[in-house]
Amino acid sequence: MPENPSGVVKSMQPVNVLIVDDSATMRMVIRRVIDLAEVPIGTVYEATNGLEAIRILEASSVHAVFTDINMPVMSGYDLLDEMARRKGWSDILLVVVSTDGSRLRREEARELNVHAYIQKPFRPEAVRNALSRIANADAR
Amino acid sequence: MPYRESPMPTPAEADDALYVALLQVCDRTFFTLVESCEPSRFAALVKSASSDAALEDAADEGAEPHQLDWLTASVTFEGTFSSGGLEIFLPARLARWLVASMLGVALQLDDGDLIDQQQTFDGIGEFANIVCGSWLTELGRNQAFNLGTPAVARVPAGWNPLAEVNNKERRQLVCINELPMRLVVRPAAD
Repeated sequence: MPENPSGVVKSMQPVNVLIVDDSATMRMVIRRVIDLAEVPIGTVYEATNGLEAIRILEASSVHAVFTDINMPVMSGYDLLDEMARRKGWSDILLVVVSTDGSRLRREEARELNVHAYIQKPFRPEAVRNALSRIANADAR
Repeated sequence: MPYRESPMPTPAEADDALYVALLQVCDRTFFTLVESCEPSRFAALVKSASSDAALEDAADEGAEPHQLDWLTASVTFEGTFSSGGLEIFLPARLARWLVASMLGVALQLDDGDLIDQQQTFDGIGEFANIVCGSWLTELGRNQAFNLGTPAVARVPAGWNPLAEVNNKERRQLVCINELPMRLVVRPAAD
């Protein structure tokens, strides 16, 4: 896969993204930042909790999930746990976006195959860089 | 290998960590600066942020309690070293401005129409959530915690932004854009 000097993949397929957060404001912020990433973005789906996210994943083709942890109905960890159990979802790129930056939570996320852990508050480039990095890694 | 327990933070350390968390959240997500505020300056800012009618009603003991146009956003937390709640009080127009700033919408402090109440409540609840999470992360780097769903409401009639807190609570007074904000940390009931 050819790359430009900044390491950004230019000729990859559009990435379909699912944003899971109970705050509509935070979903909007993440969506705006993702739109600015130097990665071709396809469809952006939104869910307010893990259960809604699973329904979208069952019905749609999603390449990357950005999920909060503390959510009503079904938490982000329960979502990640469920995703780890489902065949066919192991290639989905996982990014946690959470207020909890403790080492324990980061290690729990790593055990659930999370590719990047972004702590809120984040600078926009943190989300953009995570998406570019995992998209590049996936393209190799 | 089990994590080493962080020593229990002192109240002063907890206060400092809360202020640092607020600074970071406002800088990174809301693109604004926070200033610590002495009580006398805070009182002056409360006065300038309130309408004359509200202040006259507040001063008149015989009048019905007036409801200030302030919001309260609260989050409960459960951590290894501490449990309780963080409550943030701020004028509604500061809340709207913060949410607009987070969304990248250019908004003057007195523009009330661009950000509706639902967006304001959701955004300022997320603000409280992020401040609380950042604070707890700052306090106990290795210790996980759980946050409740943020609750946002208008302050009740008769509520006074200058009221003292009881000896179990911690209060911080700050200002953003010359508008007052009050933060109160309450320990969980025994």
